[in-house]
Amino acid sequence: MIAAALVLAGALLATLHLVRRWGVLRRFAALGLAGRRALRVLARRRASDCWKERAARLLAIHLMGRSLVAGGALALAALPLALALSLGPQLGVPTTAALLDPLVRLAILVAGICLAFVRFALARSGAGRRARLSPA
Amino acid sequence: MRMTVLPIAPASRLLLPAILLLAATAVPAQAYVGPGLGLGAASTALGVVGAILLGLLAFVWYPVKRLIRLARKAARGGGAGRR
Repeated sequence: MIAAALVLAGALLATLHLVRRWGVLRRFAALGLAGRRALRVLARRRASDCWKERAARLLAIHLMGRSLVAGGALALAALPLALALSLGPQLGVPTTAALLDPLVRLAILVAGICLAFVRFALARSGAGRRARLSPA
Repeated sequence: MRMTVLPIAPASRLLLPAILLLAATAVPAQAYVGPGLGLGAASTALGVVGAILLGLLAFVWYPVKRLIRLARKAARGGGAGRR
């Protein structure tokens, strides 16, 4: 179970790292913005139908692109976790059982919080050192 | 006191045991999706559906609307010419 917990923790951290690195939340915010813009354009009263038709065409392409990019980024970011959960039991590591175990979940939570704290502290000390070494 | 038994359609008579049988033999699906992934998947699907609707609006509704307006204008113009 310890090996499964470690694999699961690694997959979870990799997923979180990819979500942060690829800006998945930013892509979903852009998707929401595109949807709101489309609604605003369609609700505009003073615009002509010809203009709305052209704008709707462009906005449809834009919205489809943003949706596919955001969905693809999310699917790719969740890939480590999906691989760990699907391949783990086949390779003899009970990752699905570990995911349902409350003790393993608690251990992963504590490990994640500790790692986030260490990363934050390291980033802060690195920024302070860079500020001291900079010529300005 | 007389009790009245409501007639049940044959399809419903089979449906209830089938539902009970399926509920009794269900196994854990282990298909939990967290709120982040769930909301992400839902918004992606909504975005795709919205884009398709917007495309339909742009490629079908506005041209049809323009056609109807042109037809009405032509009919009005033809009527005025006849008079």
